[in-house]
Amino acid sequence: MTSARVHLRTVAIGVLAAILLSACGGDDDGSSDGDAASTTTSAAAGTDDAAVPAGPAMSTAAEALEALLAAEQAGDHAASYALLSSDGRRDYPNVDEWARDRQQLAPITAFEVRPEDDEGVVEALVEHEPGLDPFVGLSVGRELQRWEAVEEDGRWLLDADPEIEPMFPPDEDAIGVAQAWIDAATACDEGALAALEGVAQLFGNGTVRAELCDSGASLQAVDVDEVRSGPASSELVTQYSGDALVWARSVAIEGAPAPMEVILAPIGDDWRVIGVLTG
Amino acid sequence: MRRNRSVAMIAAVATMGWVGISTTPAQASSHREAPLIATDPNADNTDVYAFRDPTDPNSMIVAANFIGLEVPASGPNFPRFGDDVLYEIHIDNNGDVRDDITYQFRFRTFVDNGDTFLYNTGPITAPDIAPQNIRQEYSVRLIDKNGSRIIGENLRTPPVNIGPRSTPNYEASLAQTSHLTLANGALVFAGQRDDSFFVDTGSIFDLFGLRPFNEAHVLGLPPEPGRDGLKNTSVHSIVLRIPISEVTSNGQVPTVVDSKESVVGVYSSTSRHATRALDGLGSLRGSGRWVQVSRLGLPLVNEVLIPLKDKDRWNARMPANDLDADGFGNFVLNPEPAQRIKELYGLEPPGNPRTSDILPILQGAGAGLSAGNYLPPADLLRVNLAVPVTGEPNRLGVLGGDSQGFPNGRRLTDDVVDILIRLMAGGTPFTPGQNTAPANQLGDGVDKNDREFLTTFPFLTTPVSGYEQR
Repeated sequence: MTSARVHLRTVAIGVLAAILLSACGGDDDGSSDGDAASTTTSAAAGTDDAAVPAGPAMSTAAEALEALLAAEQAGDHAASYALLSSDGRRDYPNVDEWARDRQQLAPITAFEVRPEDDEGVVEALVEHEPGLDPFVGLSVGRELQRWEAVEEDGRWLLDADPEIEPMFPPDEDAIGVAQAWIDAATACDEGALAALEGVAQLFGNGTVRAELCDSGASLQAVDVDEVRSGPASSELVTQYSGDALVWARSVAIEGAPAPMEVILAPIGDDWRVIGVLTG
Repeated sequence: MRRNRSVAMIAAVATMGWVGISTTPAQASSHREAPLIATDPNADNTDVYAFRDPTDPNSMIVAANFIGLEVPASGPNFPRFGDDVLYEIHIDNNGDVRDDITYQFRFRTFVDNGDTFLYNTGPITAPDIAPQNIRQEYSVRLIDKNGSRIIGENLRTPPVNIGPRSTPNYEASLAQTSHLTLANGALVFAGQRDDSFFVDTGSIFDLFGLRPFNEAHVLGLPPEPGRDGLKNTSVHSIVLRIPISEVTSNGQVPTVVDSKESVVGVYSSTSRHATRALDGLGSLRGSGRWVQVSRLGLPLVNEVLIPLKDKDRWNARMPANDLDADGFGNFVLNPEPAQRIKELYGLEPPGNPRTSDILPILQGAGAGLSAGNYLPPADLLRVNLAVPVTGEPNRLGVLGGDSQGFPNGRRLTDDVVDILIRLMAGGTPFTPGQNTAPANQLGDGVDKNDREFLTTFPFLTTPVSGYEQR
């Protein structure tokens, strides 16, 4: 993916988000019971697909998705499972498998199902509490989900795994955040550093902060790109999976005695520093 | 296409020029008991224990061991938890064989100085000080009826036990200082321990030999004492002390033994990302959803009851409907070891299917439940939290008249090998007709661990140092 393509996509998604967010459904306060662990909330739990009772009949794909996302937001994986198509249940033969997989995802805090323009696909803008942790990985603040829908026995149902388009802040913003972080490190401003960082312990070279402090260095954040695969980024990838190579950005720093990159993650609408690679 | 993870993976593979991709089918676990998990020690779940804390009856201990057969003298790249593995402990507290409480663990390794080959560059006398070049920390996530939340971050593990120069005063200075309290009040330890399992693997896997009974084997040998095949080996353990009120469905410490509400089921598991890729640059990465590759509830179920062709598939399954699915019930209730005992020792085990002993044990009979309160049969370690802690544990557990022992949960001192051999032969009170000598006397001759267990948390004992290894 080139930077130009990322930029275009981001702009397009940003416009879309602006349109949809004003009408976005779900809890506005961001609270959610989502991701509840128990898969025992329904008598259907744990049975094979033939034994799972059908959910309420949905007359449109959008209705089905509305119900599925509402169930997921409530942490009721049995209810959402009942809205899966035959293909979806082939992928997840029982509620337990489905529930375990859904618990790997960031809890839904709000969503808005879009009007259908393609009978076979229905879209929703879905929101999560932004964050980054080693269990869920990146919890993107907003994403566009495209679900394939099918009509089976007069009911609209959904395939299991939607296509996801995460919405990241503009790449160019990462340069400014990296520069602010460099400036804060050089000024030994721990408070500013903490506000700019997205993890408790940075990946990569853990001594850079200390080395920059009061160094008088004049460093410039100059360019943003994706993070390259290889030994330097392997720690990041091991912790957050190969997904990190897609969502993380690398900002090149000029003026350092050795090559230096600041690594950032898109936490909600902002970029946050999560690592520094040197050498 | 799967969600953002799949999008990410596909995009990355397409643009990064990967030279090697291996899709990981469900890899899986006991000690190297299944073909795939035998090649993946970091994710190999070897044993799980669950018992009331003898030092605090209002708490329970759950311990899960990983990375079997660690050789203490294995520097410079000593064993450690896998940074790319999801470790989990699952608890079912309402008898439906589904997770009600899950503790998840993720580890992260820090290398302070990549320009040396050494694990440490001086004596490590306290955690996280400069001479320890390779450190590992972890995070804990709790999933329960209230949702999911991270209850511990940046928790330290002790270094491995290297030797008197590198890790002096190991237990007091390094291990005990890694007993940490989680946000929900549970106590946790994660790090290297002496392997708590004791068994004569050398003889048992030599055509099911039991050294004390060598003369009775069709290929007879002189009798001799058992030898602990795991002596002087280590594991990496995760140990939790959890208030019982945090575990039971009603938030109470139970007092009625023959009650479903008093019994919780425990198992542990590991998962890896579905796809692993080599980039030809010296790094390996995983992508996609977590896929379970190892699980362990009751000891030895997968090890000796599930046949080779299905072991890794068993490891990939969740325990619900264990006996109903895909013929697994046949393997468990028509156990191959019983047939081997008949062939090799001339004994006459109970007839198949084993509905008088194995089935009720899987339903909670060993955990103090009567038929009216049986739970669905499953490969869960079921522990009855209403049974008081005994001051005189018997290694044979319930078979030895000690209702707090295996198969009511599993304590470190429970001799599950002897118990299960006798079960296979029919030498238990569940089958009175066969509960006679020698069936009810069989054993491998290894009655206890080679090192004494600790009497306080985390109970699993100090690992042998590399320097001390013999």
